[in-house]
Amino acid sequence: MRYSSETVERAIHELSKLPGIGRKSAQRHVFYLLKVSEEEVNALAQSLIDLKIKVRHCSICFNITEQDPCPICTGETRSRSIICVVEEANDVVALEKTGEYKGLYHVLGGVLSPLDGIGPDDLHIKELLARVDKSVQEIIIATNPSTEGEATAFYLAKLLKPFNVKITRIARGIPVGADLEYADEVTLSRALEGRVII
Amino acid sequence: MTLTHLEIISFRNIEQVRLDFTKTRNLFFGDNAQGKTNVIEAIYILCLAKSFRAREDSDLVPFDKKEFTIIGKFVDAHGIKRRVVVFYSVDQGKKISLDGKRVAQFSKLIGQFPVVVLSSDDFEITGGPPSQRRRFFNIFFSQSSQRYLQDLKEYERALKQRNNILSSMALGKTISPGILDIWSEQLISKGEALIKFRAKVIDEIRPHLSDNYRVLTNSSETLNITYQPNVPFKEPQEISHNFRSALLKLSPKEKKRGTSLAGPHRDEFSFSIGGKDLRRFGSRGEHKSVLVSLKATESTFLRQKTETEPILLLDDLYSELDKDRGKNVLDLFSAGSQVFITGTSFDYEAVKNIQDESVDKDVFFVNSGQVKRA
Repeated sequence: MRYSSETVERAIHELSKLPGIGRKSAQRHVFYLLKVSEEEVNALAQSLIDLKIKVRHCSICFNITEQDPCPICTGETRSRSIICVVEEANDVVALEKTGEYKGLYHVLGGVLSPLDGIGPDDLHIKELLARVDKSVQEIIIATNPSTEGEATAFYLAKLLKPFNVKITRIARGIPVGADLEYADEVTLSRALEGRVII
Repeated sequence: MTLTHLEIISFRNIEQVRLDFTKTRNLFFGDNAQGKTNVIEAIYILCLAKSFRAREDSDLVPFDKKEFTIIGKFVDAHGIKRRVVVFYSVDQGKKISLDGKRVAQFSKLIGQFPVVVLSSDDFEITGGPPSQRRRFFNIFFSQSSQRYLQDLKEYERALKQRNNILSSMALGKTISPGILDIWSEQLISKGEALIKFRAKVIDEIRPHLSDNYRVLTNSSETLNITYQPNVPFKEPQEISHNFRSALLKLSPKEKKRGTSLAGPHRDEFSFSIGGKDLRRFGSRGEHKSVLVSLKATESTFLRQKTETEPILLLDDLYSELDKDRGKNVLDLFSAGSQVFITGTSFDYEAVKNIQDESVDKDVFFVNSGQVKRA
C-alpha cells in the first residue's frame, strides 16, 4: 500500500534502496523516524551527508579515511616493512581489532572476477606494486578463501615474485574457541591439509 | 534415517496430503497420472532441496497456486528427531528450515538425509550423454562427502570465470596478460581434487557394482565400470602436471571457441558387460540391470560413508522389472533402509500375493492427488 504523504513515500523509497532493507523494513524505519525528535533525525541526516563530504580513500593504501594519508600509513608505531593486502576496507577493521598486526595495509577494492567484469586494472594493484621498495620485507595476502580471493592471491603472488620480497598467505582452519567436533567437515579437511610441523 | 511424517501442500496435483509412516516398506499404488511419483518427488526434495525431474521449482506449483510447502519429520538411528520444511513461492523463491532454523545454504542439507532414487527418467544415466552420468555421480558423491560438494562448487565457479575470459578472448577483446593463467591454476587445483575423488571412489565401488549385477541377473558376465578422466593420468601425482599441459595444448582452440576444453567437467564414466561397451552394445534389459545395480551400489556406499541408512525411492519399480525380480531388487537394496515404492494398480494385483510377508509394509492408494492408506 502507499501512504498519503509524498514525503513518507519518498523516504521509504530511498531507504529501501539500501542493501538488506526491503520495503517492509524501510516502512518500519520511517515510522520510527517520524516518532523521534528532530534533533536525532538531524544528527542522522548530517552524519550521512558528512560521509560524502569528509570521507575519502587514502592515496597510499586506499583505506577509508578523513585525512590523507590515513592514520595507519602515517602512524609512527607502524612497521613499514610489512604490508597486508586485503579486499575491502572492512577487512582492515577486522584485522585491526586483533591488535596483533602492526604493519601497513593495502586495500585492493575487490577481487578479480571476470564474470563481474573486474580485471587487474579495476583493482589497486599497480599502486601496490609501486609501494614495494627496499624497505618492504614481507607482503601478506589476506584476500578471502573464496575462488576469486584465491585467484587474486595467486595473481598477486606471481606479480610480486620478481621483487624479491617474502610473500605469505594467511592460513585457514578451525575457528578459535570452536571445538573440533563442531567444525564442519569441509573446514576440518582443509585444516588437515594445511597442517604445520610444530 | 527414517521419514516418520510427511505433509505436502499444493504441490503438483496434490492439494494436501498428511501421512504417517511406521513401516519399513511403503507401497503406493494407483493409475497413471494420479500423483504417485509426486509423493516420491516431495520426499526427494526434503532430502536434497531439489527435484530429480523438474528443472524449475516453479514447475512444481499447481497452475492456480503461487506456492507449495513440504514438511518432513525424520528420525535417525539414534532416535534423534529432525524436521525439514521446504517452502517455495513464486515471489519469494525457496526457503528451507532444518529443525526450526533457516538454512541459508541449501548445500548444507545435502548428505544429512541420504537418499537414493530410481525413476523412469534414469535410463539417461546409462544410455544418455556423458553429462547425465556426471550429474548422477556428482549428486551421489556430494551426498557422501561435503568436501566433494565444496570442491565441485569451487571448480564450477572457477570454470565459469575462466570461460568468461575465454569468451571475451573469442570476441577479440584484449585481456591483461597472465589473467587466463591464474584462472587455469584455480581450475587445476579444484579440478585435481575432483579427479582424485572420482578415481578413488570408482575403484572402491567397482567390486560392489559387479557383485550386485551378478546377484540381480544370475549372469556369469562381469559388469565393469571405468572412470575415463578427460585429463588422463597414471599416478595421482601427475594430475596437475597433465592438466596444465592439456590446457596449454588446447589453448589456441579454447581462445577460438571461447570455452574451457579440458578438465573434469568433460569426464566420462563407462560401463561394460563381459568386456562389451554398454552404450554401444547393451540391450534394454542390460541397461536396466546396470542401472539397478548402480543405484543399489550407491545406497550401499552412502550407508557406509554417512553411517546412515539412506531412504530409498523406487518409482515405478515393477514396470521396470519383471515381478519376481522386483523382490530380488528389494533384497539388493534394502538392508534395513526405509523404502518408498510406487506401482500401478495392475502391479498391485500382481504383487500383493508374492510380497515378502517377513517385512512389515504399508500400502497406500493414490487417486487424483489424494493418498489413502489401504
